[in-house]
Formats: sequence, C-alpha cells, structure tokens
Amino acid sequence: MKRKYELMAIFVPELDEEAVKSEIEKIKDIIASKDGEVEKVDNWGKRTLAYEIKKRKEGTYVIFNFVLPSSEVLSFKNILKLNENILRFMIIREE
Amino acid sequence: MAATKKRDFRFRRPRKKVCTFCADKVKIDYKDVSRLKRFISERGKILPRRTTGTCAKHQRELTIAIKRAREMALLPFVVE
Repeated sequence: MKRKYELMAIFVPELDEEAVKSEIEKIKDIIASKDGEVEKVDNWGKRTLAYEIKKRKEGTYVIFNFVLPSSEVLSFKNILKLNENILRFMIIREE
Repeated sequence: MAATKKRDFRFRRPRKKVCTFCADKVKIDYKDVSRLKRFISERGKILPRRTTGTCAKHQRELTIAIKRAREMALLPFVVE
C-alpha cells in the first residue's frame, strides 16, 4: 500500500551546495527505484544545530515529501543509514 | 450566598486562557520551530498546560512535535 511520507535529513556541513544537490538527486533516485514518487523537496540550507551531533555544530536541512509503498520504507531507511554524509534523518508518515 | 461571596473575594480567578492552536486553527508541525519555542521553558522543558492554556488535545500533539524537533536538533533537550 502506498503512503505519503516526509523525510527530514541533516547533511554534514562539509558539503558545499553542489554536493548537497547531488546528494538530493541520489535520494530522489533511490525513491524512484523503489516505485515511489517525490512530490516536493525543500532545502533549508545550513542551520545551527541545537546541540552537537558527531562534533558538528551545524548541518544542511533538507525535507522530502514523497509517496512510497509502505513495504519499502524499511529498506529505504537502511540505505540512508549507510550514507556517511547524513548526520541524522527521520521519516514520518503524513496523514 | 454569603459563603461563596467571601470565597470569590479571596481568590480572584485569573482570566481563562484560550488554546492558541484552537484559536489559530493551525496544524502543529515539528518543523515550525518559532511556534514550538513558545511552549518550552528556558531550560528546554515542555511547559505544562496550566501555564500555556493549551487544550488537552493540542497539548498531546504538541509534546510529540517538540520531541520530534528535539530529535532533529531543532530544539535542545537541555539548556545549561
């Protein structure tokens, strides 16, 4: 069953704008390869973190709104976990 | 009645607070940091309903939103 999800990802501050763009494209491709559809991508840019994560004081926030079959979410999470450029991410189901 | 009259005189009831979320009809979102900030103390704690006047339904949603925001480093867990 396909559902709407929202992914918020924090990329490491070392990435420049171009690198962030290519990371965004990569994630889009992953979603597309899993029979999903990206509806919206919102790049917040660099923000200071409320507390340090892995010795980083800031990070680039990007929000994805997409549709994905619920069975694919777990494998999507596992792919994101392996990405070293992501400091932290969270997938939330939208109602 | 004399008894109630006396009571009313001694304890002045504060103006009843209205839930801001009910009044504004906005959905509570963990990404809306500026709004969420109004519901945490200087220490970073979630304020109780009795101080903010939020209704029970919205307070439940609010706590979830604040906790999500904390996880994503949008809000602090503790402020030292």
